[in-house]
Amino acid sequence: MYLTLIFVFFLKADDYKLGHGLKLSDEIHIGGYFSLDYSKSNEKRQFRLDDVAFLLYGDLSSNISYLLELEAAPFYTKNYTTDISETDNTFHYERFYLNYTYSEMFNIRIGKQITPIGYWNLEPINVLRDTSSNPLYSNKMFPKLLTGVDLHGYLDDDNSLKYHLFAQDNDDLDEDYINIKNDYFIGISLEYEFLDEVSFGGATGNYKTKDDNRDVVLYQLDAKYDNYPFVVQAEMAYNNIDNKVTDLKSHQFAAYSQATYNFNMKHAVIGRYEYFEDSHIGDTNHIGVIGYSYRPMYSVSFKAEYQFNSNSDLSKSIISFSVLF
Amino acid sequence: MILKIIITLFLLTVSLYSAEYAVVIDKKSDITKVSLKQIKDIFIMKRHFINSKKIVPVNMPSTSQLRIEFEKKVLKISREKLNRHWTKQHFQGVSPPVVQSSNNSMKLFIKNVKGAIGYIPVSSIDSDLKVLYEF
Repeated sequence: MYLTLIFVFFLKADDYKLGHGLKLSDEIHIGGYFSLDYSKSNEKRQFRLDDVAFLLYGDLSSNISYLLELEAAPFYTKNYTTDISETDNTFHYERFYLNYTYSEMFNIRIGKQITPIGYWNLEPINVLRDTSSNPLYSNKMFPKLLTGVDLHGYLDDDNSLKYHLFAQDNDDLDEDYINIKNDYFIGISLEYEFLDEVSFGGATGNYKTKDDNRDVVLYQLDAKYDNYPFVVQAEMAYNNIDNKVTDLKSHQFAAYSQATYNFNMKHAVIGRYEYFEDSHIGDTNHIGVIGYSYRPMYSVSFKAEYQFNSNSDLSKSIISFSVLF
Repeated sequence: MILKIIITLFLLTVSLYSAEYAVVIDKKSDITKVSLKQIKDIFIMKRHFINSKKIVPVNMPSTSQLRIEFEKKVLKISREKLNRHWTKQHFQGVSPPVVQSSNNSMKLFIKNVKGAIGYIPVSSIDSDLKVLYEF
């Protein structure tokens, strides 16, 4: 109901363009997004109003800007297999930070923010992705969000080599809303753009989990070739894990490679291969994804995909609809 | 007669290939030179400084022929790809450049806002503005 009212308010506003938010002043720019999905596997059949989120951002001065993102997810779930419905309309802090822009080389972001690693993690919402699902790489290998400081900028005159030095030494701003609860995370990432089409990079870091006291050293690599209509990207991460409670050592490895062919700006087909292994629980997964994406405009996305999982009970089909407003 | 034809052809060629528009900044700015890549990076909000000076890019309205030419000849990015870019930037909390509705308001903005950089027809350039790039 509220979402519909807000959506109508946006559409009625002068100069509003769907997907670009509504600028009320230099200090106040509002927007948001939501996504619906329906999935079916051997184990489960469910419908979700997955993300409902609101964005507020703006410039407080010529050098200082801020962003607040509040999100409820999953907002509503209907499990048709068990016939159970659940609603959770608690909004959490997804991001809340201040940016200080000093120069091309030195900028500081303080607060809860997206961990600046790779490609997938930087554009994590359904409407910006090419598939409804996320690879396991994006959920299992490192905390998606950082409550701390990120020093970032470009190391060359050409703005081709970007760095991030980030650190957290406290609890997450909203511990109920992060994939890996942690109270320590320090790392560095580098990304190099070569020509307009090719980029590659990597990251390394160390984080300490709260629930199971793991001390994790992360190594990550990524590469992307973006030459319309073809886009190919791949990321991999390796975790060296030292469990401080059991004194057991283990590792995790995750990788994916995804290729997208855009027939035009509206229609695209996607193929992805994923691999994940966890030596501690002896788990190994191979996942293949084929998908189709239709965007009547970039900020409105209809997607359909089928996931082939090496554990056949987890193979599933997903359709989704998502909007950034 | 032959000389007249040659001169006419020469002038015609010059007029065909001379720039119609220019990227300009306030004459008092100490920025004297920017590369095409820097202009592109400034207008997609990837770059915010030139020679350690903060830059404020200014666009014409999206329906303006001048903006269409600027996107085609300088940015070299299609409107669809720009729309995709700004949708992604909206999620990152980055707004597109401010918009001025006419050549005159563009000139006034550039003269009054430190670091403002925009584009206008060559014929509208006056002595208060400095040309950084012609297209």
